[in-house]
Amino acid sequence: MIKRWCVSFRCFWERLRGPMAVGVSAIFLIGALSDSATAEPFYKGNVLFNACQSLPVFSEPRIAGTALRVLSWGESVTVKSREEKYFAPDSDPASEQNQRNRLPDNIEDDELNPHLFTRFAWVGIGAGGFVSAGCMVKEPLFRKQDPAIAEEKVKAFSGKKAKKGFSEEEEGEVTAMKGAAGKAKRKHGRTDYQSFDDYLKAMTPLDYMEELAEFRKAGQLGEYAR
Amino acid sequence: MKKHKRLVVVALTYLICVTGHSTVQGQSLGGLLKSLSGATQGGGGQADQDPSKAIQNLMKGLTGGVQGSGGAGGSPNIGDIMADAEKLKDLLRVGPVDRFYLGRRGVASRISGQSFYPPSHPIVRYVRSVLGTIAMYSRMPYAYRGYILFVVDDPEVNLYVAPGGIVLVYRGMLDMIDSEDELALLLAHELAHVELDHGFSHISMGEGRKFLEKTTGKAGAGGILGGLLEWADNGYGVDMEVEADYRGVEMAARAGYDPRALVMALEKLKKLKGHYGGEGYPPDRAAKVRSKVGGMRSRGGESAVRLRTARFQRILRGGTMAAANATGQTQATVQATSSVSAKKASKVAAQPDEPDTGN
Repeated sequence: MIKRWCVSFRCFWERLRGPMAVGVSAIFLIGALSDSATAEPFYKGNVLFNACQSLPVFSEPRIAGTALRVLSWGESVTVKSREEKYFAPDSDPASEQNQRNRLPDNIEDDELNPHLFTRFAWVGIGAGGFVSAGCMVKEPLFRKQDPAIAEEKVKAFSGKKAKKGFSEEEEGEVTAMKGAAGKAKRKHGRTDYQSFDDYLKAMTPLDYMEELAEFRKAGQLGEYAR
Repeated sequence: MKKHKRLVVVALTYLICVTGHSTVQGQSLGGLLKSLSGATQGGGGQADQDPSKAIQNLMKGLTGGVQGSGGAGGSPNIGDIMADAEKLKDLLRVGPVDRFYLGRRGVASRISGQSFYPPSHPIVRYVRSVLGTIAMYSRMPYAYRGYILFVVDDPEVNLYVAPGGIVLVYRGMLDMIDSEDELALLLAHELAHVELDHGFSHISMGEGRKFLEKTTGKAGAGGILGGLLEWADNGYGVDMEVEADYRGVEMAARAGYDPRALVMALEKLKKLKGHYGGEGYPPDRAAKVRSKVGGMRSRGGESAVRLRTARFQRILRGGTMAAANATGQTQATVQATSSVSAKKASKVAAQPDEPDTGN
């Protein structure tokens, strides 16, 4: 709704500076959110690094049969093919829908950036092997996949809240926990890393493929569904 | 950059020409920006507020001489905004390790003072097998440390997932449901959140909120950007829950489970709690899921559902859970407040039952 128009340079300039900050903030924010998309875009010929503790290699782009081998932490592979294409969900800042929303209504498809919303679930690594793309990152990001750096990042995420008192310190992380039947609520203020880490140590190795296959067979699931 | 340039031009043209009294329809980030670029957007929006304070604050900040309301050091200038944006970009560029540590922190605070079953417990092994089966049909079948499951001995009726694939299932939820298929669909909802990276998306929006508050001041965040922020807190959450329900249905169906089981579980939840999850969840959630499910059924047919239900009943109702509850925390569950006793409890609890593989 237009109230009044500027007639002086001073008025013009005063109005320019504020909106400019809003505009610049919004644009940089969009850039930052889009760049933080779930998966880094990757292409044939890229070198990717395994950022999971261990990652099985399968003979098909899905979990099927026994793993051919296991990629260890930090092992690099060259992308030979990209498999199981899908698109970023609408909730993703880089999704097609969000890109359209950020642009004027008369936008044409060639103004969208499909590289940001097109994803691939599996990476072909040659010699008939495929690995899950979720664990694979490019070198610059891999270099930062260090527990110490990650912990600093976690602190940075809740840094502002921490100043206000312990009870608010982890609001961000708890909010990030998505429940099926309601929001996550913390019952105690403490952060019990010791119990968490002890629990992880007590967990059986993740390579329980045979046990899982028996489970599917008995429940007529997956490849055993008739 | 072409689109960004166009956006700047349109936004600035509008804001230069228009004075401070306008209303903004900010239902989404896109909505906010459309509001900035649309000259006559107004009325009926979520944030019907006066942005003049924000503009005033920004002007003061840009002149550099007056302390603004956005922070102790006054409102930033455009150079500061760019520097902050660069920091934010770096902060939001995360990989599997970052996600795990983020989830670890959230879960470590959530399990504090709680009792949970040791990983070797038959119930944990069983739920983990269901989780593992669903994960096989996810686009994110692996995480930095693999999927981690906690079964918390608490009557709360819920289950959560944190970034990094760390899942918490509460005994109250296991008590409420009656079949493996219901459990699978609820777990599939959680795995969908992981696959769709909703946990981190929520954090990204929170960091975006801080950034906007810092660069435009509290008044700016509460005025012009109010719609966006409100959407980030609530509307965005509802969208994500719907997405997770839909994607969970697809994953579970691919695994062979009966997707109708999610509707059954949600109806039970409604009966018990009076809602489908409360704020942040669609009030017509079950109807939406029913519509999504359509004609999808268990790939193994009804007999397979019955087979799995019998397995569920045997493991969760056939003595294992009852015995665990009867013997109390010292034997069958881990008291999270004491890691030493937790280790002892794990050893004791690991003895009585062999892992059930459903045979």
